[in-house]
Amino acid sequence: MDWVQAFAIAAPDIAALRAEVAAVQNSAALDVRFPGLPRRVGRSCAPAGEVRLQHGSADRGRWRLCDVAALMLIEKCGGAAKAQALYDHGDRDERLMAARALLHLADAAMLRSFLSMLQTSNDQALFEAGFLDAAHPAALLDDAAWNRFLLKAAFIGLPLERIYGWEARANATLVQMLLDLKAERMAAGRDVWAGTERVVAAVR
Amino acid sequence: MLTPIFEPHTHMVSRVTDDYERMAAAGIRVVLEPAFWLGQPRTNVGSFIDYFDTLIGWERYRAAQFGIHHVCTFALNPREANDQRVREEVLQLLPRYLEKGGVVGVGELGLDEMTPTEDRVFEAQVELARQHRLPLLVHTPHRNKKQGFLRCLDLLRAANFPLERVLLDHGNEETIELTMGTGVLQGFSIYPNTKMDPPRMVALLKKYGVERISINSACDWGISDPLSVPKTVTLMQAAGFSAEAIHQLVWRNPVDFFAQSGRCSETEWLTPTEKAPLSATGTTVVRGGGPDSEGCC
Ligand SMILES: [Zn+2]
Repeated sequence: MDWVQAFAIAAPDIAALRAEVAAVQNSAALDVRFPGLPRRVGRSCAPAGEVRLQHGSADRGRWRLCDVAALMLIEKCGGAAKAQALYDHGDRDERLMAARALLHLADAAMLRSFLSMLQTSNDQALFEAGFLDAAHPAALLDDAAWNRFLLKAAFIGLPLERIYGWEARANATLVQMLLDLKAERMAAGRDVWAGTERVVAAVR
Repeated sequence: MLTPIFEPHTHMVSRVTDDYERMAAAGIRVVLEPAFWLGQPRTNVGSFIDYFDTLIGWERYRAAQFGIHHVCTFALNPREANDQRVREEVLQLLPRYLEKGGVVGVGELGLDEMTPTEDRVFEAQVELARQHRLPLLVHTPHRNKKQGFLRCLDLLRAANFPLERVLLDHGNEETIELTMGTGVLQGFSIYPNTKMDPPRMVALLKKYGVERISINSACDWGISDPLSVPKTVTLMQAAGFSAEAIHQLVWRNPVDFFAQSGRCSETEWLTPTEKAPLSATGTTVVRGGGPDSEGCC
């Protein structure tokens, strides 16, 4: 796959990405080069639009240049297992890069288990990178996992618009969970998740 | 007017959130956490990997919730340098961790019992600092301290490492005579009982000034005080030190020293951390995160 083209990378940035790929020949070299990617290629985002990944489309405008570089490098040197290892031993920037690479490189079973680990993450940026702005959760998660994801998104107040496929995956159990959350929030005098009524309406 | 404080030696993994809260209220903007030992020996390299990952992951995240920037240094500490169960593997691990964002030096390397093995590990890590263009944060022994300082200076000179890129830590009234004028940044840990206390520190500053000196709490799981730097600042004010001198001691000196890493800048450190988690693009703060979102339990 020509990722430079798929992510519509601007001409001045292409050379930096190609230089990174040329500089790394094996998995051990990648360990040392990987943390510096955001410093060297930058964190600016790709142009808005859709990109096709292994498990469905994604909003490429959420991918940063260093994420695209990471995908190219990990695809070249190691694949999904390497992405998982880089995630496990990375700081937030590295984890964001490795998580995005996994969205494409992992097979369905591996991606499901990665998402179930991310479901418990305390770092909202990582949770967003794994679950939002892409079609794979709706394609891969069973109802129980999907509902846990939606409930957490509601709990921390993420916008419904960034959840691909929410309408088709709405279900009665989820509606009950959201209504319970709504009741709990109202009893506490706190804000209710803005997406609640729309999910409820989708099931009616 | 509260001067911002760069606290260049803390072991926050051993502290509670109340400490972060009090540190932030006292003006501490940046904490530096050097990798060290954990009070008892680790028996395998995996324990180091998880510890290093905690420093750049969870601990940095936790500090940010209180508006504090968390940076760190990585090294094999001198105590465990003597332990063959972990020594070589930890040294092999370092190149990867020294390239991480927010890593502003190699440390705490140094000497403890002053064994030949400690010398060898010291030299190997000075070489790593050169390769990764990072300054050094050097731990000096508690016992036989003067000899320890001299030995560190010998090793650094023999390696031809620029002394302006070395923070020689845990100094006292005796060692300052050895380090004044060498070019190193002279670190003093204000640590109850064993190292310096605030009145002794203020007396020392009266005598020597604030040039090339930096103070820290070295707070950890021992009897230590994460507020010892701001407490020393209060004593300095009472003793008539100017606001400029205080600013130089607790901000300018450590900031300039660690900015030599090229990994962080003063502007970044003066910008408040995002208390709620960053969104994936790193540009907008999203609602609902922070210490009162989900919690850990
Ligand atoms: Zn220490």
